Amino acid sequence: MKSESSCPPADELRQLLDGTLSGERQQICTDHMGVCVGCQSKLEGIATQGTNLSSVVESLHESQLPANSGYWVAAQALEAAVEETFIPRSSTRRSDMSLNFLEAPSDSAYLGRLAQFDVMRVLGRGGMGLVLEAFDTRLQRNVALKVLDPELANDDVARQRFCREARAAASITHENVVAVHQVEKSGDEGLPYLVMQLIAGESLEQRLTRLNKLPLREVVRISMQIAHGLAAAYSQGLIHRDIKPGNILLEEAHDSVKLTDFGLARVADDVKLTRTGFVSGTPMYMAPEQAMGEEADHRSDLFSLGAIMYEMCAGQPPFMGNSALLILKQITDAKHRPLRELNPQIPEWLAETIDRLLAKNPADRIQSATHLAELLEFQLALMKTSEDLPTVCKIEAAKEAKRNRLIGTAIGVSFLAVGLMAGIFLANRPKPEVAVVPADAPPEIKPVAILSANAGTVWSVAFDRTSQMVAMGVEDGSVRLWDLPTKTVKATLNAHRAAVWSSQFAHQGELLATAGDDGLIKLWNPPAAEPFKTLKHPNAVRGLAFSHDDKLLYAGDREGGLRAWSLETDQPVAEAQQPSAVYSIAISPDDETLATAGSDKTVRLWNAKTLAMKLPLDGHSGPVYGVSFNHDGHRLASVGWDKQVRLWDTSSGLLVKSWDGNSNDIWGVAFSPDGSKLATGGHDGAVKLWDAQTGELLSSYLGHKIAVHTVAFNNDGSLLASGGRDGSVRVWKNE
Amino acid sequence: MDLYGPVVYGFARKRGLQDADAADLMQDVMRSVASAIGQLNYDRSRGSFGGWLFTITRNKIFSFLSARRIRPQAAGDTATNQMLNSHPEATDGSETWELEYQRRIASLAMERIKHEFQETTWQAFRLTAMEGVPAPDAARQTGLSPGAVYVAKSRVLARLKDEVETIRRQEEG
Repeated sequence: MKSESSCPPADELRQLLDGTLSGERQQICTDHMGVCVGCQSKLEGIATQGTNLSSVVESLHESQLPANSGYWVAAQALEAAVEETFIPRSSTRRSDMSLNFLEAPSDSAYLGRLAQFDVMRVLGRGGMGLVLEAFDTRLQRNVALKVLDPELANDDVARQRFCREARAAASITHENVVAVHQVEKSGDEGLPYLVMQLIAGESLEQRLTRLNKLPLREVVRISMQIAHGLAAAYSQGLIHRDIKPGNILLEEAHDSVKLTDFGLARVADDVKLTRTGFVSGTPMYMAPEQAMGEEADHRSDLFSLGAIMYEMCAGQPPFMGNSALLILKQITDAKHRPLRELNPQIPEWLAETIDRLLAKNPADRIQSATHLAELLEFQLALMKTSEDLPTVCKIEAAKEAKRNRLIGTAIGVSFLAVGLMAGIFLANRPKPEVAVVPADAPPEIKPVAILSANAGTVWSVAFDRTSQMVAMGVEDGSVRLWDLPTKTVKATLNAHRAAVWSSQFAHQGELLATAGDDGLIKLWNPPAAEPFKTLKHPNAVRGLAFSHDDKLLYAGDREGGLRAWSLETDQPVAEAQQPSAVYSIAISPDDETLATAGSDKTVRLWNAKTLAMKLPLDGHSGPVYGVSFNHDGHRLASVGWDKQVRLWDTSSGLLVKSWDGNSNDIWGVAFSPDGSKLATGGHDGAVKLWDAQTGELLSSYLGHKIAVHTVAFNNDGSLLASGGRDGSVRVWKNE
Repeated sequence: MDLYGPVVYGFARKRGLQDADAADLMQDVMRSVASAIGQLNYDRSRGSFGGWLFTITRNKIFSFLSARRIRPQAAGDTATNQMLNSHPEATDGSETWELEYQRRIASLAMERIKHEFQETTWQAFRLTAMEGVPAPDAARQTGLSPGAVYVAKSRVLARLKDEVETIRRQEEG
């Protein structure tokens, strides 16, 4: 019997499997298989090469999905979700999104026009649309426009999301967050777009591409500013959810770091809507909880920041892989490579800090952006100090730093306490920056207060009667009331729907009047949050002035209209019209004369009772931006586009004196209450104080680095306030 | 999704979830994954995320079971109670998961290679390897000799092993 044939060798069994055995041997071996149990299992062993495949196949029925299982319904629902969510995204049309939503350009130098914006170029394309650089013809400045993809504008979800982004972003006002000035809609379809601060510089992504890694101090400085920006967002209940180098802008001019694209940020309790919808986040910097599809909180942003800090130090991100999936797997499962292996120059404290940020469990991370910022600030101050000391001292300082840190750890104090120690520590050190100032340079004058709202350009500023309160009229339509002694915001008035061009306190009481681009004039009893009176002016009001008995309020508008409003009847008692925009108005101390600054290069004097024109004052070679009467009303100062300060005799209308003021447009002018000095604020960022008689420059205040739009003295002339594009008001001592 | 959906579902069942709950959980896990990685049908041919998915699934099951602890189910749900009493780290279920995964890959591989074999060969394999039918009975049903049944089974297994490896390689990058 063939069954008695001897067992075939392993080679033959292998050949039997792949069918390369000759016909006769194949028959013999096959028959042998029918009877030899040993060869049966040997053959199977060769086939599966010792894996457990046989038993897996044998047990397959245990994992069989019954036809009536809920699984199939769920799978179908998922397929449907895939269709809905991802098909539109995967289409490529948005990468070549056209610019045909723009109107024809006013000048061939531009790509086109959108409302009052002349579009210069495309800055970038993102998930939701385009970012354009444009010139705002109304406010005469460059801005960035973020336009929702017109194809998405019809999609309710995308639109909703875009508007939510706008709301979220606009509520954050901080120097480390790109300011969103306004949200607009344009065209027949009402295409929504954001008007944002334009940042000149590069993104951190670009810098890392260029330099690979960054110097230690830069790492700490940039990280600290990001942490500050995040802290500001969290204070508004916002998380970013997509912190990555591409969303971090490095402004050239001021070394300042700005977070942008709070596109995915949302109010923390508003996550549900997009839970299964649009993708959120970039895998490389994503926190483990985000990677696992769980809810992100502010600590997720801190993880992302940790990943960015790691990359700035090491030249590579902590988690890498060839595909998104591999990166996510690394993020959730793998420990990052010790930073000091990749860059031994990174100090231990920084490596430890980054490790703590990269903890898988959010509870193990540094818990707040504020604490992180404080920690980094402390270390940065330490670095500055030790770098300027001789080498021996440097070692001592390093030891001391380490000791401080150890003490901090030992007694288990929070980072806040470390911050306090830093204060004490540094106070005992010599201040090296004093030493490096050359002896012959005039000392830079420091403001007595910096009131920083960071809500956009400050267009108007005023002291109240007691000089305790400063009102600041801001780009975003708000008016902030500051308590000067404590430098804190007493109240934020949601005053106007657009820029607050003017804010004036009444001469007698504590009454405040504000006017905005929305054409409304509002009267307030600070710090009450609601106005007690609203007057509707026909269009944007640029200048306000109270008569000295506070019974009349004068308003000049962008269409050249002039009105005297009675605050008793709330009606205009006199009206006048000039041919072009009024930018500023002033009332003489005797309430006889009203002066207007106009876009037609002309300053006009009016009878304040009747608003009949008395005198035109011609001489400026461009638009006039500011006017101010002196204490006796005999002199009027005017400033404007031509960088000139002009001093007029108000009775004759003759030019008394004129001189070159600032190095660029002069936006604001104010006489000191005693008439002896003149303050100007200009586009060059300088506030200058002049002798009003001689035109001699007395002082320059250089704290604002960019355009100053408004200047004002307090009642007794001891203080001068200036505000401008940097979003702050600086209060200077008038020596 | 094709690959892992059944794995997640199967694993959840083995961890004591009812059909409907396991189906819901599968959907939940997949949606979470999708929102994290961007595309539900994300480039399946690359990258392994089995381990990652396992972590997510395990976490979701744990939260699901914890939620049950708060809203106790009808009596007799002993499997659930057992699961609750054991910490997830203690019985992390990675073996169960691995087995579910292997089974899923094997069945995917089988779908792919089935057409490469003659019907009788496949039938012999199915009967003996999957359904546990003794070879002589399988021989009668297929008309093959018992020896040919064994050879058929092993040939399919050998091919299946290659295919499983191919899929794994693709999945795990």
